[in-house]
Amino acid sequence: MPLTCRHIRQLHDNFVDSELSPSLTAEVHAHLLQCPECRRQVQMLRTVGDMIARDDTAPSLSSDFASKVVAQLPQVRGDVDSFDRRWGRRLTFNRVLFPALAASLFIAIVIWPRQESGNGTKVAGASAMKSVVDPTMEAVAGTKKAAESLNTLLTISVDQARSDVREGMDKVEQLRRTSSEPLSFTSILLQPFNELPQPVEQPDAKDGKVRF
Amino acid sequence: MDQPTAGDGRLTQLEERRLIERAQKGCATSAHSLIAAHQDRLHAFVWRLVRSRDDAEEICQDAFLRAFSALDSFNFTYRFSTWLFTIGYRLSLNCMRRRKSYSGDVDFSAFSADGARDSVADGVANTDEAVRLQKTIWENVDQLTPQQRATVLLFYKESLSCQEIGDVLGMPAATVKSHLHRARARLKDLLEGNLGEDWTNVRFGAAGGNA
Repeated sequence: MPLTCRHIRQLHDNFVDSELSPSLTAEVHAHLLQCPECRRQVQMLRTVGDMIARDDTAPSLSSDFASKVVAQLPQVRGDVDSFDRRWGRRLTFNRVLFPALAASLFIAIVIWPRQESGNGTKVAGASAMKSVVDPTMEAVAGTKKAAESLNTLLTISVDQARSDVREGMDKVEQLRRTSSEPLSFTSILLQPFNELPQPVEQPDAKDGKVRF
Repeated sequence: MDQPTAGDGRLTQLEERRLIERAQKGCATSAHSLIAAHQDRLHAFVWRLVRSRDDAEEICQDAFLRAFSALDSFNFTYRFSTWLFTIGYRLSLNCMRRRKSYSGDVDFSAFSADGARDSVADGVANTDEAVRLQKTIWENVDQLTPQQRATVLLFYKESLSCQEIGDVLGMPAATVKSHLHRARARLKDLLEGNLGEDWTNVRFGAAGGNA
């Protein structure tokens, strides 16, 4: 069944935008060839589109528009080299100023009110700082004492170890003098075990076995 | 300075990306190139919506400043122009709301006086019929709703797809299609009453094609 003008009118947009299937496109083409009114409407759609697309009647901006906008941009400074300087400033802020600011806020918000609520009166700045610093210094002094004690302990241990080694060397020397056979490393190592008491034979041993 | 190198004077996607990345690092030259590559298109779009030269320039300036202030968060899946048109469209709507002049009651005598009409004769439509037809078409485009006008401008002048227009206007592609269909139907109705019988014989100049 051939398409009527009413059907074709619904397809005008899709036909102009080339969105119809090949077979439907061919049918619309066939209809347009024999229908002047539909042909006129499709031509009007195309003309409107062409006119708008080719229009260049908009007034132009001033020639220095781009420069004026760039001058108002806060984050751009000259060429790309300025990037390093800009980030340098940011890093300075991030690494130095920001931690200092945070520490000041922490003292002002957390530590200061505690001092005030402790004695119920407003504490002067110097005394508040002193009460914070003194325990810290005491803790540092305690740490120093602990380190000295540890140092003394280590000195005693080292002296003890040194005397033990010296005693062991004397024993080996003495063994070498008394022994007729040349000393091996195994004999030196087993010497303390050889000095252990021998097992005592049980009185009821009949089978010749030694029981411990 | 980087210059647009695409055939139609527009930046390729790669060039655009490179310029944006350098502008994000604070390069003023790249920022200048980005603005220069988009300013005329944005201005034409905004001017067609608000129909005021001063307002259009102010909106363009504001749109660029807003775009660059948020450049660090730019999503490279979109074109920079899409982003700019989105900002420009919203600012234009705000401007029109302030003026409470949604549909165009444009003084075309003033429009002709500033010399803009002369450029039509030199460019696209260099015959009296073509000039008359173009004037009639724009008069009727100005009577469309802001959404329909923006849809028509982005579709025909910027050659954006319905999906891209939806990104700009903040609506689904199907709604854009519906706006476009209604805009065309209304333009057809308006032009039927305003055009004479001789419009089909309009001939364009060298810069144009056939009607």
